[in-house]
Amino acid sequence: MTMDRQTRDQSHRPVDAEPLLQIKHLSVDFRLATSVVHAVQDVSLTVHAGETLAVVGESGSGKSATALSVLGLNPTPPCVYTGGEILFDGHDLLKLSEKELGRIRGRDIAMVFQDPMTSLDPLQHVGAQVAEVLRHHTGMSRAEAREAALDALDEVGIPDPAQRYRQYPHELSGGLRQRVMIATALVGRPRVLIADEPTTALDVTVQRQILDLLVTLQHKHDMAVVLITHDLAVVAETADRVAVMNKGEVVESGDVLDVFDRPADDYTRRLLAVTPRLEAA
Amino acid sequence: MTVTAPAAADHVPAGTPTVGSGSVVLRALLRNKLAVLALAVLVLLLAAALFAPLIAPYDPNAQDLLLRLRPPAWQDGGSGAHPLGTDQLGRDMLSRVIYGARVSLLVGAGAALLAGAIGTVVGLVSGYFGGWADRVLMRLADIQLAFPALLLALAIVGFLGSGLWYVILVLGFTGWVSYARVVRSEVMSLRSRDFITEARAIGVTDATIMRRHLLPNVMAPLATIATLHVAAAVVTEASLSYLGLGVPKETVTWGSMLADGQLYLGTSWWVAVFPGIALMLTSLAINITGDALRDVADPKAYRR
Amino acid sequence: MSPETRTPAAADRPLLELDGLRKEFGGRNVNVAVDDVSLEVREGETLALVGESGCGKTTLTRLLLRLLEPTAGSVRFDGRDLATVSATELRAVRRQMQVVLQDPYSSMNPRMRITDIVAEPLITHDPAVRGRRGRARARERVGELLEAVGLNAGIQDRYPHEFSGGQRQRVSIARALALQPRLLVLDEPTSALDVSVQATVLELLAELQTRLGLTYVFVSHNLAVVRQVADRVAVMRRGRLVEVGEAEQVFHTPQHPYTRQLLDAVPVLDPRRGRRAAERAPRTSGESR
Repeated sequence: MTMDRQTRDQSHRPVDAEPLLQIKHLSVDFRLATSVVHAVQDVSLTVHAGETLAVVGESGSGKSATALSVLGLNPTPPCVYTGGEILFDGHDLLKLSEKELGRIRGRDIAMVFQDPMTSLDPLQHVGAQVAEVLRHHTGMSRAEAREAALDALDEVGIPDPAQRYRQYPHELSGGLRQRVMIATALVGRPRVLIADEPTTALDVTVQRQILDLLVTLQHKHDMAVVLITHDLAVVAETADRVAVMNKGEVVESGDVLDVFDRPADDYTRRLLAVTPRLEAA
Repeated sequence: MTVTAPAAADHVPAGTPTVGSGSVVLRALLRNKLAVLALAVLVLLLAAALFAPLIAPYDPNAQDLLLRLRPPAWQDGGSGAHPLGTDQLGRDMLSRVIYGARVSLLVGAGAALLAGAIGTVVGLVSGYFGGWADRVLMRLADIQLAFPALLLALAIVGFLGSGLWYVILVLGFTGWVSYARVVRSEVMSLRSRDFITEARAIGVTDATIMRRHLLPNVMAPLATIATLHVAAAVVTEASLSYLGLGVPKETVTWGSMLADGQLYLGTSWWVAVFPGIALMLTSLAINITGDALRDVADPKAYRR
Repeated sequence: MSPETRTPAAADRPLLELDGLRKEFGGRNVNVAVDDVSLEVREGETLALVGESGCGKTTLTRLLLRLLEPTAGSVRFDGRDLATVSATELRAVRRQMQVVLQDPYSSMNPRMRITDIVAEPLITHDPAVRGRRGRARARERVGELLEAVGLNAGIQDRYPHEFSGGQRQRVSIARALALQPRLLVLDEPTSALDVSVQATVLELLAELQTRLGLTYVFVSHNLAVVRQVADRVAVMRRGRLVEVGEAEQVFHTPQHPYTRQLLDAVPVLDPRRGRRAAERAPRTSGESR
């Protein structure tokens, strides 16, 4: 590590600040009928308040399995957590019961997924789905939750929230649906947001808007964001730090500028080389 | 971009065993213990049906009025000569149950084949072409469904007379709708799949697309409905025979045996219970085999 | 595909001409999916058709492949109007234009072996490969095709699900090449693939184009990929073409505001440029936020 990087690393956060979320030596296996897949192997990641950590990798790299581990959302079986810990607020999330995790999900740590069409209930008004999170976590009355949900829809830039509140997911465009998902995730004021390929299913102009929205809201609420993506350009545009994953392992991690300027790992270099660029080579 | 020799794709070992072949399906089926048991019952039944004259100890219609309503061998008054006892005319129960399997399986398989053939053709045409062909065929299906199958069966048998083949025809012509519906909805979802688009772009004819691309992909759901239908047809045949409207009196069927036995239930339970057990075991075994088949018939189930 | 490897357009006449193409869907509420599209594709070039979802680019490819009947307008391939040619001629034209679709998981019949998938165009158009003797000839040809796309000829008896997305896409390309077509319609051919796999498939397509003199209609929503492959670019929005031009021109001096909007939205693979550049600047100079 160069002197240069050390000073930069220290510059953007107090030296003694505890990371908000800390994944230490996490290993996850998928025990299938005929084979065992080591999906995540000895992965360590940290993210601080107000910071965006991008976890980038291709399919099968273990990036999603890592993200889902935080809230215990990998299907068990076949998933088995074989080692490591995930520290949040002094607790090891891997040791919490389903009930205890339920209190953290959506309130302290929230998730946004790739496909809002499958993450939203097709038979419920979108507003009610936002309100439900609040009622579940805060015990607000119906009317209070409705007001707060309307505010949340407004905050994520949904025009005419009162009218949109009473619409069903299929009546919204992909971009609006993803905004609803973000409202659902943020309405509980989480300290950590895990976004798993949040813009992969969207058109490029909509992707731009959603990425802008995520960054704006992150600054506003001083959230830590873990952004799971396959797209290095998205990383370049949004992240402070990046972890590159390949075949279940983190092959390289560090400040975005360092990793893009001086990739240390062969795989990172190859990924950078093969990603198509808009500017002429 | 510079031109190089074709970039080598990830290494694929050639010549490893492939899936989808019969032996692999069979092997997967054998891993399911319940299915093995069900399959064994079916094989036994099939053997009984095929070789009934060799296996059955007596002529199923041979009466012995001196030995009427003898209980099974393990009860007081029973004897090893008639292990399952005799009926009200002194006919050997074991022989009759064995011969009964013939009619039951023939009717079940025949009805399922006939209904499956009609329903598959209707469903393929309806789902692939859509439009007016679909509307006409589906209205026809609605009309067909509006007739209670059993009532229709009663009417036809009453009109044409009773007989094994009539029963098969009736059950075949009343059962095709469920095949057609399932095939149609499968085909409608397959129709928009890329491989159908590609086949059309190549210039493959509609008939070939239906035969080569659609039919094999609807076989799994077809097999499931067919097994359910075989089981239902076996029971319906029994109901018809029970009502005296199925096959002629001298043909032994489980249904007519049940009807006979009903009168003696209070005193000689075995006359009704044995054909009842045979009927239940058969339909259970067919259903379990069908479920297991559906689970293993899909080549994608072997991924990894 | 890239400027250095491009072969100059040979014929004066365009290989494919679309003239005033229009396609409406639906009965009462008419939805115009393609609206007055006129476009020429020259022999040997890669024309990229770009646009966001629902812009009508997929419908347009179905029209030019004659899988859909246009409501109005015409498609001419090599000077022949596809609407007026006889059924036999249409079959002959179909041999010359083939398609590779986006999703390598749904573009193959899961119950067919690789050999039958790749041989299907041959069997459909060439009586010589039917029957038992033809069978051996077909296998031989399938082996050649698989090798041409960088696959092992020994995989013929295996099923599609045993292969990765990139390998399947190679099988799709092999199949599209079976009839030695002149035009390939590539409908988002790499959108479902990982970037490293995408790179190898794009490389393969470039190599095949040079070697076989193919003409590509390359449909994509990914402008960075289009930048890499296209000679000319057609930008589509709400069923209409808003801009058509040489790739250099479209990317450097876009004429239509929508093209500019699209280009601006593409994330930039450089942490010092793009949206957060300003935010990063003070940090790199050592100040805290």
